[in-house]
Amino acid sequence: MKRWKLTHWQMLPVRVRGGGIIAIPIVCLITSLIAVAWLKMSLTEDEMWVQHTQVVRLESKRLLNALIDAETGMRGYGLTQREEFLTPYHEARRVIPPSLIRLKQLVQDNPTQVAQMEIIHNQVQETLMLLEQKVMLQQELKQQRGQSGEMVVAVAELYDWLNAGKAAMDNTRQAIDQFAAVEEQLLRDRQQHQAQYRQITWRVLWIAGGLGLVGTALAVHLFWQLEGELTTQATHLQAANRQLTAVCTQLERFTGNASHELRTPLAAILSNAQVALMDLADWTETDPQREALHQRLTKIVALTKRMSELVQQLLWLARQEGNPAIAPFAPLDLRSWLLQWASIGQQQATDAGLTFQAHWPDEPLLVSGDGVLLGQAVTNVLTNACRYSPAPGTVRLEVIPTPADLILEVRDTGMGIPPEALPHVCEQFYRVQPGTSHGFGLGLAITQQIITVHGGKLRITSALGQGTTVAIALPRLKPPFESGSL
Amino acid sequence: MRILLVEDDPEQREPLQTALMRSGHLVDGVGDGAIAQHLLSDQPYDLLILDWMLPGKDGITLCRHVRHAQQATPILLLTAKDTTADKVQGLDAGADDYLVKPVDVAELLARVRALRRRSPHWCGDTLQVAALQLHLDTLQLCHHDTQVQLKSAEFQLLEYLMRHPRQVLTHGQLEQALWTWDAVPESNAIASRMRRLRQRLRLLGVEDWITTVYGMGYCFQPPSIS
Repeated sequence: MKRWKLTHWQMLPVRVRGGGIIAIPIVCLITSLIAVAWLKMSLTEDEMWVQHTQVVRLESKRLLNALIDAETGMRGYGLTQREEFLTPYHEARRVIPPSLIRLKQLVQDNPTQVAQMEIIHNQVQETLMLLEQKVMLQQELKQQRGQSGEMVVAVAELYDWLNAGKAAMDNTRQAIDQFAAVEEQLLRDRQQHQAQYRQITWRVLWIAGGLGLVGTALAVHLFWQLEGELTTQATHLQAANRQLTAVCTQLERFTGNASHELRTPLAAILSNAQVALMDLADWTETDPQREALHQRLTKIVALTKRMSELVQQLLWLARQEGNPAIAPFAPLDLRSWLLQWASIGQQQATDAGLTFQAHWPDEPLLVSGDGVLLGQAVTNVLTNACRYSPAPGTVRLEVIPTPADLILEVRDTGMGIPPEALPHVCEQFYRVQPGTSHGFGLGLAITQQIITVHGGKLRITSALGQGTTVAIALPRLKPPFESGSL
Repeated sequence: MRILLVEDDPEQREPLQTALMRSGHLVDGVGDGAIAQHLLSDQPYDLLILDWMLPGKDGITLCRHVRHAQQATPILLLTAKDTTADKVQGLDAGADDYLVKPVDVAELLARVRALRRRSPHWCGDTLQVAALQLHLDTLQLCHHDTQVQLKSAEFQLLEYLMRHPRQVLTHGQLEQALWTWDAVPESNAIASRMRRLRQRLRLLGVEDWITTVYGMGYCFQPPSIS
């Protein structure tokens, strides 16, 4: 299973695999960053809440202190009748209302605390009212005493009176304490929450770090693997290249050797026969053997030339097939070449007793190619047309331009090709009638090869007894400029 | 023309040499590049016909050697190497013409005539002294309205004489000029060849243009000058 997964991975294109390798650490990094950022945000929020709770606690403590100050001040004044005890009382009275408002604002987000604040507020008001009443009463008493002389009040009696309303004060204090206790609880909760999150943050950081390390290790491993694979591929490619070069060199050497070994005896036969023919010319014409010898030697010369042609064609094919990468072709206007090909066709047709027609439009007929090679291709087709057309007949060479191609068409009124032979006519050494003396069956194979290296197509249609049409389609080059004069 | 034919295969060299000699050329046939180079330094040739692959020294090296020595002698490469790259290499090495084997003998002879016309020493296809015309291509000799066909050996002798008129030419000079490097002429070879030439000249009535200088050699003396 693991093996399968590995090969599956290896089957992916290099780009995808490289992307995957880079993605692993990046994904780890981004995940860690997001997690840490989120945790940091929660921590900040917790911190804010803790501070808020502490502010509430402080404020409630201040309120309580102010209340106690007010009560103590009032009591001190009641007992001593000295004005300086009223200073803390007034101070406390001044502090309490804004403190209440602040507290209310602070706990606005918590409904239970708001309700509690409402109770505290009422009770504080009640307590304050009580205190106020007592202070007022004391002050009235003091004034009366100032007017009517000393008025002694028993200390114990006064103390009790002053203590009256303590219950209200206690209630208030209790309410405030309760409020403070709730806030305390909240603070504890939030601190705990904060601590918990801090712990989680650490854990996530550790895990992300670990994952990042593992991811990096995996990425490095995969990268090494990929690099190894690429190196192997490069080595294989180099080996294949070397092999190809060796094969090419071998082929070149072979064709070179074959060329030499095949041509040398042919050269000897040909020149010997031709010199013998020269010698024969010196013989007296009455010699009865002269004519027969002349015929035989002429036959040797003709056969040798035919052999030589065959060797040339075979070597050409062998070289072309072994080395399909031809030097880049130059742009070529076919019109000048067509004149030459038409004159060859005219010559061959006249020799065979046929009528020859040629027609091409007078516009730039641009293809990319080699004129000599294309000439050989066209000449081969023309030769076939003339060779296989019985005497009164017509051979027609025509160029039909289409937007994409130039079609060179050779149409004859000859004997035609049987349908079963048609797929084979471009094979090497294939001949429709094997016994006939002319041709090796290489002409169309060579034509096909030439057209192929030019990126063109060869199409042969034929009707038995009516004629054959050979169409060579060559990719057309667009002229660099429109020549309006044509 | 004196031609050096370098071809290692005797089966090919012999008929080509024969054909060239029949056309009136004096042909030194050699099968080895090193011997060819030695001959080149020994005497001047009017044309070199070289094979590419040769024992001793290959045709291309010989070609370069000749051009390096500032010699303008026309060179024809006759080889089985047939690719365009080979032809370019051959012509760039200094060859004037390139023929791929097997070659039609008629074509080879035509190329040889063409190369002779390229020679800086060429002055027409006929050699004329007074009223006597020697056609170099057809080996025909004309005097006024009469003409006679010469054989190669007679032609070579007459051509040499006509190219050196009014000079006494010794037996040694004639042997050097008219026999191939590997042939040893018999003692009476020049005399017999001269006899045959005189027979031909007699047909035109000009046999007395060649005089024998006893003890020295022969002299070609056109009557209008003497």
